[in-house]
Amino acid sequence: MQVRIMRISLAVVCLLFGLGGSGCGSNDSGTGGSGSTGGSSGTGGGSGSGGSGSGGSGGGGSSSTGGSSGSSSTLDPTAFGLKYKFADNEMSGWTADPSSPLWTGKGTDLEARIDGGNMAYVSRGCLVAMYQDLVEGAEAACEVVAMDFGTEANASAMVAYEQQLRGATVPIPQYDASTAIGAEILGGVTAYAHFKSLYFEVQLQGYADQSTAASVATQFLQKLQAKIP
Amino acid sequence: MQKQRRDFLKITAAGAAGLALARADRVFAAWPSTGSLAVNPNISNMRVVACVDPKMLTSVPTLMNFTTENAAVDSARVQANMDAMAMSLANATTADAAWKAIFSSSKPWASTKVAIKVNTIEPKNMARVAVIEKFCKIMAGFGVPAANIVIYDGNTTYGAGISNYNSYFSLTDTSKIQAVVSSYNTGMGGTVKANIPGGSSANCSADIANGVTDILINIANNKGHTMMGKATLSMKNHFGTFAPNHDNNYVFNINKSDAILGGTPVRQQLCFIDSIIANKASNTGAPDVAPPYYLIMGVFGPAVDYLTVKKVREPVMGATHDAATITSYLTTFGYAESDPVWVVVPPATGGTTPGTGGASGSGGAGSGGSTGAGGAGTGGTSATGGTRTGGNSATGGARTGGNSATGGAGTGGNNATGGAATGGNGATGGTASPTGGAGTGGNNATGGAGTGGVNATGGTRTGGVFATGGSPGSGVTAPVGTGGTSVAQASGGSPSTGGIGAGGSTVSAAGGNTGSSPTAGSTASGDSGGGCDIAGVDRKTTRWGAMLALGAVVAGKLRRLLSDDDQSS
Repeated sequence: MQVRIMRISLAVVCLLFGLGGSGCGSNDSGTGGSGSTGGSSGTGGGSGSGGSGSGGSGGGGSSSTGGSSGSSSTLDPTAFGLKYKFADNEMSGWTADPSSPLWTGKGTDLEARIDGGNMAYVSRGCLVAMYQDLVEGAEAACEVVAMDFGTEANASAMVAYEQQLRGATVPIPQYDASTAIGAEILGGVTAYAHFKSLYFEVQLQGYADQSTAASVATQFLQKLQAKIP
Repeated sequence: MQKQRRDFLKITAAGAAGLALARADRVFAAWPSTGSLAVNPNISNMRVVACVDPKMLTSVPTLMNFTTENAAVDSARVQANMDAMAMSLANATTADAAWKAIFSSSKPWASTKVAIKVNTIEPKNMARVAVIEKFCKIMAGFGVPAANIVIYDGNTTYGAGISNYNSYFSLTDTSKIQAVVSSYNTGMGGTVKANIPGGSSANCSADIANGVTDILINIANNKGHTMMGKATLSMKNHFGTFAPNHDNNYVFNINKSDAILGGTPVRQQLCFIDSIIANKASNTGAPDVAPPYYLIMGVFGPAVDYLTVKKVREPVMGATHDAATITSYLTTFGYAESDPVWVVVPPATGGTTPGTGGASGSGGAGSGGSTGAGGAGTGGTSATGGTRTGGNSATGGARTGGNSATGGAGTGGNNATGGAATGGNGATGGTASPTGGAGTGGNNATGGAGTGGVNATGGTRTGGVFATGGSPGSGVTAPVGTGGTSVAQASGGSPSTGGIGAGGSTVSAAGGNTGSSPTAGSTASGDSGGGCDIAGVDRKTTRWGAMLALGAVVAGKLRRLLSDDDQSS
């Protein structure tokens, strides 16, 4: 069995509680509730990135469909990365790629990571992001991208954009196409998925068989989904 | 097309005065506000040459990273294709002449400085080492010191990927490519503010902005992007010469700047796109499309970029772009979409796998065309290589050449030169010029143990007419030159001692110059060529001998008759 390497980068935003102005949940009118904690931190309502989110106009207060923890700490890229990155062997056989350190940052910092490609994410509401590269032996690699877009609608729109841009049609087992879909790359597949306000990319290389790569992507997505409160 | 013929340098009066100040000094001339600037006076800005060759990759790795991609590259084949492209771009008949037409310097090559801009944001698709190596070889061939060849990506945000090149390049390890890999702008003099057309300025690699760099080679990758009409190619590759700014007009303006297009000659002299591997949708991430296997180059970035989009990204890769922005690649510089000329050259074979060569094949064991070069290749005219079979002027170790073949153990046609060469007319063999070895030549063959035709010269040669024997012989059986059939003066050995020169069928055959015992004599005459007036070497009686014998008999009889008369009186 071919030993494969996965790289996973995760970006998760505790937008739900911090973005009173944008409303990462389904509450279109509430501005308070536990969300006020986030709001007072300025990351949500105060900051331009939260306020300009394309989600609901109300605060996401008590809604659980938005951010993961409701505390402003999850808007902190470092905390976000700690929550969603994979520890060594959390996925059996997969460890951090020593040549590519973990990257975390706000959406406005994305240009430093991916140059002009940042606009595709920022323009759709990315608030915080994480990139992690993993390897499994010497023959496979995986890059995981995790982002919090503030609302489920924003995250879903991001998946739809990537699907259209890349002509993604590869099924990701155990997920319907509206939740997760894959695009073919040389030697593997990139899976694009959203759960609540969270958006994930799982790019797998080193596979001679695309369906095998897609199955491995499923395993990673299941792990990521389990991290969401 | 008309634009090509209209390409000319337009300079303001002040600029002209600046030019007059000594052409050896740098004259910074940005892209003019009207008209155009000919990057190379002998090569049209609008001419773009490409080569598509799947064999540049020996395999397609399932895991795409810097190491696996470069390991899969057939370097010799890539570099042979680059030679073929250069010849087409410059309309030259040899690669050497082509590269000399493309690159020029106002300084002696020994003091010329070269910078090679690469794009390192995504290690999964960076300029292949083989491509960079080729340019380093070209510059070294001109005489540019290795320390003056700098590979850089000055982008402080995402230029760290250049460290991937470190293990391939060195100034001290001769097993590596001789050049400098700059960490950000440390090898480029740092950064300075440089003016940009339009009135702004931005941080720029100092050696570029200050004109310390004489020749700038732009090696871009073929990738998608959210800006520049959804492609990032040569023009945007100068993020890392200049600080980034994701505004299309900024990209155009930096490519019109003094830093990029200044200098005499113009600083940026070649824009090259390594599209062996490409990214379709974005500028980062693993390649998301089958390798296009293209190399593309021209002297003018906007034309190179435009045609890469129209001829490769769209029809080959299936990418889509913002048409208006792509059109502006040309119109911003005063050109029309009908102006660029796209030329595709066939692959020049010769790499590590034997093939059939084109115009300038080069490689390890390749078969070259007119100028094939390689290890064990079969070349056409002027083939050069180790164990090659060449056509005319073949050069190589164990080559079989046509006319003027040169090689260690080559079989040449006329004028073949080689150790064990078999040549046609004028063949010269051996390690010791002009004679030696074991050449077999045709007319005028020269070789150690050569078999020559007319005028064969050598140690133990068998020649035709006027065959000349080789090294001094001794003893009875000195080297024997066997003369032709109708030779007047066949010479056997020089100097032969006691040698036996077998003369031809006519008189004056001379056997040896300093005959001793047996006596050969120097001027033997007669059928036997003996040397004794009484009896020849073969002891056959001569006419003189017969007469003496008769005389002796007559004398004897007369003596007896006279003796009888005395007794009777």
